[in-house]
Amino acid sequence: MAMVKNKTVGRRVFNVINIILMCLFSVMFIYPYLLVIGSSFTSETSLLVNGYNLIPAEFSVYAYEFIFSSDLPFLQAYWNTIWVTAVSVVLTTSVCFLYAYALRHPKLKGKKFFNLYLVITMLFSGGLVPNYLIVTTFFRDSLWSIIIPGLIAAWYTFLIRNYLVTISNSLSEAAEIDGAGQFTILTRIFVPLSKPIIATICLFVAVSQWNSYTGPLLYLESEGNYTLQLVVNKMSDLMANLAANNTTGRIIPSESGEMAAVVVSTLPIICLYPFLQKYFITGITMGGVKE
Amino acid sequence: MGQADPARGVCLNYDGRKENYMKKMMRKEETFEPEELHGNAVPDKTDTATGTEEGGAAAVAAAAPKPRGVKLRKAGTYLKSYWSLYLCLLPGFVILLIFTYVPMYGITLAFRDYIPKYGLWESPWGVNGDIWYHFKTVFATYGFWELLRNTLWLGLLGLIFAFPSSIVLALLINELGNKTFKKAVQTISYLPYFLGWAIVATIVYSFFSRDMGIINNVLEDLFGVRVSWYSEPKWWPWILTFVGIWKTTGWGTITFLAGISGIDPTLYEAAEMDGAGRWKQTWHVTIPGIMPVIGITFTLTVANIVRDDFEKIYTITGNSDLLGETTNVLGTWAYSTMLGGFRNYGQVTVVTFLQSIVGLILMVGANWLVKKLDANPLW
Repeated sequence: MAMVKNKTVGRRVFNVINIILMCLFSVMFIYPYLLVIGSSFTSETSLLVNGYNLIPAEFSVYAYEFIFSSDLPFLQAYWNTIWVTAVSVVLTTSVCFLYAYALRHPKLKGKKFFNLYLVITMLFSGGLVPNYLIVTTFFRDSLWSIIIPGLIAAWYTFLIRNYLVTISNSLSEAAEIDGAGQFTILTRIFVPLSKPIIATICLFVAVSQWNSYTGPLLYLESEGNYTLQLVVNKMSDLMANLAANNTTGRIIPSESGEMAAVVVSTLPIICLYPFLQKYFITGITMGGVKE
Repeated sequence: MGQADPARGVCLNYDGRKENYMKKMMRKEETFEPEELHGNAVPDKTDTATGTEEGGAAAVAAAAPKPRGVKLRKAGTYLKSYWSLYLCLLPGFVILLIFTYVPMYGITLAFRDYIPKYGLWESPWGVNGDIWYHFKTVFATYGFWELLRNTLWLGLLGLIFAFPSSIVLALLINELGNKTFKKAVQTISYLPYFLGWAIVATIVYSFFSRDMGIINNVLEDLFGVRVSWYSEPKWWPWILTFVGIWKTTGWGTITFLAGISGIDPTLYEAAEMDGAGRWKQTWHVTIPGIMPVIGITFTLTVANIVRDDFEKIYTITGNSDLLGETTNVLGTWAYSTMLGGFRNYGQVTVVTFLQSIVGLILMVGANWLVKKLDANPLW
């Protein structure tokens, strides 16, 4: 990093303006999220009168109590999302790692073919209808429909491959001569040496599954199978249904409840990413390198 | 070795290589294979990536001209030792075959009359004998051109505003002196990236809601008006573009900042000695320095002009008819038309197929342009 000392007046003015500008941008990036948090802790009646606000005019946790109550499929969706994310992380990372491992192996014959086989999928796809027809022949309204088709992604595989080629062959060759099989070499030598890239891929898969919307929208039909993104998206409809059939006369927090759902469903990622960002950054910067 | 430290890995490898080389040499006296010597046994310091891959290629080339029987026997011994590599490829291979390559064949639905009873494989070609039937239907619909116009307009707005915004933000962040402050700004700027589109849609609603939205609250305080944003289509291309910028700008800076940190510091020193101020240094050192990254990002972004962002538009507008005039795009049309029933499958396939092809052409074109401008092309 070049730190050139050049303390002219113009430079100082620029520095001050830049700092102010960056503060403004930071506020712009974070304010909408804070607004949602504030609104979620506001009582529904005050929200309807005063509108959304950063600082609750009337503090209340009713929205949180309500969304976790049994009237909404929210808790089930939370569990579904955790399950889908966990299974995807383990399976997708494994499948991509295995493919990448074979792809970088110096003795693999047909490397060009297997490379091209992957590259084509980055450039071209069948599109909505054919994908829909194929996935629905195998899975009907099942959580597996959003896990299995995504088990391998060219992008992840190439990231892993690019990392694996930086590991020298000599260790594995030595092990091979000592009579170790390919699987022993894979699990005892390459996996331990690839921990950073494995962490990176796991995080990418986790975030994309946690936030995925189109797949669940297309393939999950029953409420019991909804994921968080779907529930948040359909929250206003669900709330409207509850309000229409409201026999007990209690307040249905349709606005604050929606905000509370947003907060609860994003909390794990928002709390974790500041500590894990270096792994994401490794992945992104490695991907920017030309193959 | 348990610790994931590349430096230690290299160190270990170096020792391993020595031993390995000795063993290879000992073994060589029993079975001598020329490609072994050429490819792997020669202790080459720059061996890691290029060396061995060339070795593999050489092995294939050397195996080619031998007589058939020998070749088969060699294939047998090869498979005996390396069959497990193909086992590693198998899961990924099968998944891609079923869920990516079979759907690619499904593009033929654009030329066929889809009948559920016959399915993807046996539906007859052409509708009433006309293979271009679905194409003609799509082009003859007035709605298609409106969808195309909206798609291209939104895509262009994204290219013009969202693409440069990451570069500008990266340059500004780079000028920050205080490391802690810099880090904080970066971390905060990544936040929107981690929110899914359904979440973002709810946040957008909290800004633009007619009765409770922040924007209307401010407008009412200042001018005493409330705007029904969700029934005013003319604003939405701009709102969608702004939301896109908000969500991806911070995350987009990562590649550019990595590119900036890779620039040789002596270039700045030289520029300064030539009397270049900070602005000139940015213009003549930093920007040329990240030109390769800009080139790659540009190539990838251009393809998105026709591949609209379905999730973003569908969740934020809720596919509302009131806003459809500007926000109905090819992607949202494809989704709702597909739900309309199997008779529409042909048309939808035509549209998504054209999107895919045109996107690919645009990407190739952008890459050509980048090459022409002598910045680093994608391939």
